[in-house]
Amino acid sequence: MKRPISLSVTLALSIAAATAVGIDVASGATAARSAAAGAAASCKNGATIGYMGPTTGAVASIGAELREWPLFYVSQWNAKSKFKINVVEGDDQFDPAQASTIATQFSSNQKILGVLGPGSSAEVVAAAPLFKRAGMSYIAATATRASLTNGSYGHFFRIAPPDNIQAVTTANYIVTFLKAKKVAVFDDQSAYSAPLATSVTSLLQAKGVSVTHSSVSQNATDYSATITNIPSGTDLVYTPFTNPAKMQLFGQQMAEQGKNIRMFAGDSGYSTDFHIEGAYFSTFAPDIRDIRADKPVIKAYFKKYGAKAPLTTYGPPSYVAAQVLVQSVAAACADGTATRAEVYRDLLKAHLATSLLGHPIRFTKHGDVVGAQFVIFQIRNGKPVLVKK
Amino acid sequence: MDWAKLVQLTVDGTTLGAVYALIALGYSMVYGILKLLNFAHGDVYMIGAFIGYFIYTALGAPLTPSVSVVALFLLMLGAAALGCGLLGVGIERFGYRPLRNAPRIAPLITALGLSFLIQNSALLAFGAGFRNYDTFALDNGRLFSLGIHFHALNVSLMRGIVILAAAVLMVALTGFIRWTPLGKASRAVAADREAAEMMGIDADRVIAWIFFIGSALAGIAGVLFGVLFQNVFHYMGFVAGLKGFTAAVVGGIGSVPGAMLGGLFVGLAESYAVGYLPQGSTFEDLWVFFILIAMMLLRPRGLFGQADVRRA
Repeated sequence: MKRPISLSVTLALSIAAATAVGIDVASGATAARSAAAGAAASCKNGATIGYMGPTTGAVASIGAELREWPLFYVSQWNAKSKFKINVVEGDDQFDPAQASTIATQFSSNQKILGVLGPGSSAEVVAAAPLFKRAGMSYIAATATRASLTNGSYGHFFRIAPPDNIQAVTTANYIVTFLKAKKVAVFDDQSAYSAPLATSVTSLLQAKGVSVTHSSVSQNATDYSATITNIPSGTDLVYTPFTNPAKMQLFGQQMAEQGKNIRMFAGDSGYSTDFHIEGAYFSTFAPDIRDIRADKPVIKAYFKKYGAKAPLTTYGPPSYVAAQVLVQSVAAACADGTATRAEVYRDLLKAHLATSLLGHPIRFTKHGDVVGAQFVIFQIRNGKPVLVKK
Repeated sequence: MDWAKLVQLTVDGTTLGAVYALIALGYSMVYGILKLLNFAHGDVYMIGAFIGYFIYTALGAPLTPSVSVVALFLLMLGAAALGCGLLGVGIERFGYRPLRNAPRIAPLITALGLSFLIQNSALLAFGAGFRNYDTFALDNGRLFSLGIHFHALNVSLMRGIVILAAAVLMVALTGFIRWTPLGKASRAVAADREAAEMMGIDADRVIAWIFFIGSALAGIAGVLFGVLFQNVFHYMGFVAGLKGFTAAVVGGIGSVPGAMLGGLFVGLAESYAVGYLPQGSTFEDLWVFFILIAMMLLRPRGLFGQADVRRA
């Protein structure tokens, strides 16, 4: 006779799984501590770094770009240098729990001298305790939560400027140039979107703008009811979503309901998936196609990955992150061995006189790029046009 | 009372609910006949959305379609129904049939495994990017500009098409199950497979047809979703599958009319929650699953579910 699966079986499976994870984390933590103790890795056959990002999962579309650009830099490096870099990859699926597991694996792998990633602020928060204990330096290209560089996240570095700069830039532009009086703010409940939307809301309110702030689920596939709820008289909608295709749908559904309200998006607005005519967006990186010196790199990238390979604002900072980390690892390996502490030391000293982003790269003691700024684009005739540097 | 808002939310919820209902039908039909939760069903829906998209773009849409809009939609729906129907038959034949007499946890785990297999195969085959039907650009945007536009109320022609298509399919399915020999056979197999086989019904054939029909409906739901909500991506089946499953359970899993009503119920609940509850859009999913839990507590068999017949 067939019996339904009992609660006790489910519980037993859950406890077994939880125990297994616990053992894994515990053993990883032990190994991590020994690595942090200063075990030196041999650089005789090159060096190893880690890459973690959302290769699969809901935001794999962004993950493809976050992954391809640093791997592209490593392939360029390996083609030119005798000192080879090996990359160990981890797929965090944009999920803090997965990020934590991968951080454990990377920390316990004593060959790994530094890490590229994770992809977003929530994963940084999850991975930080493990990397901190392991003395691992890790460089996120696009994690923008302001608090990540307050000194409590270990050897964390990032290429994108923090959200507090973005919030000020955005709020000032909305008030000064767009002269909005009534704004509806929507975040997508992500660790990136929610704090940014909150900061912009506060700044706008401080400037006398009437603001309503709501959230939508990252899993939402229909915004019709949300749009129905936008208060009448709203003259601007701010949607710093993680996913550009969803912002596009939001804009299209506003049009479907006859709400011709100006739209202002966040970093992910720089994407072919987002092309609402007249919409604005602020982003952490310029369009590198406009930077003459970058053209050979862009050409080589498309040659390697195909003409349809992604190039928005996510790839170039990832490339720069790889550039800085690889060069720091190479410097640390100059005497034939390297420790994670040496890589950290060299990252703090790292200085690129220029970069793919069009500006120099040098870090503050807490890991922010000195002088990094946000820029604002507007979509005109289907293409982003820079409206504020 | 803001009547325009109420009507707008009702239309929004009905459209979404129609898609959920079509997904729920597949869950419910398979559960009714095999007592199996086919978790791969949401991913079949995703494949349907992709098939529709590829037909759509292959025929030059949205900007330069080589056929009329009606023919375009019929081709997309037909191809998605056929492709997903065959996929469903394949899933049943190679994934579930060998486990027909295995302990119930085996096909359940297989269902989860198949879901990930299809999802990641789609990632591999189609890439991680979002594909956009961009039906806003089709036929000079008439599908969205035409319709009822009265004060704050906006009901586009596209929403009307989606609701109508779903309604026609549900009526057709009801008639099919009630009056055709295969429909009657499927009811017999659902009631008692052994007895049905003793009466000469080929249960394997009936089950394969049920998978075909349920999966075809999921494929059509995928296309209807795509033409209205635009975005198609490898992960889209996960949440839609959960919502469809919720609809099936709310309606009474195993019941075809229950799946239809459950879908509408979930769609409307989502829409009204967003429209009327404080921070509704923030907790949209919370409300849907709160309904599921409440339904399980108050009426475990769902709206139309029937009590198990137990032999002494």
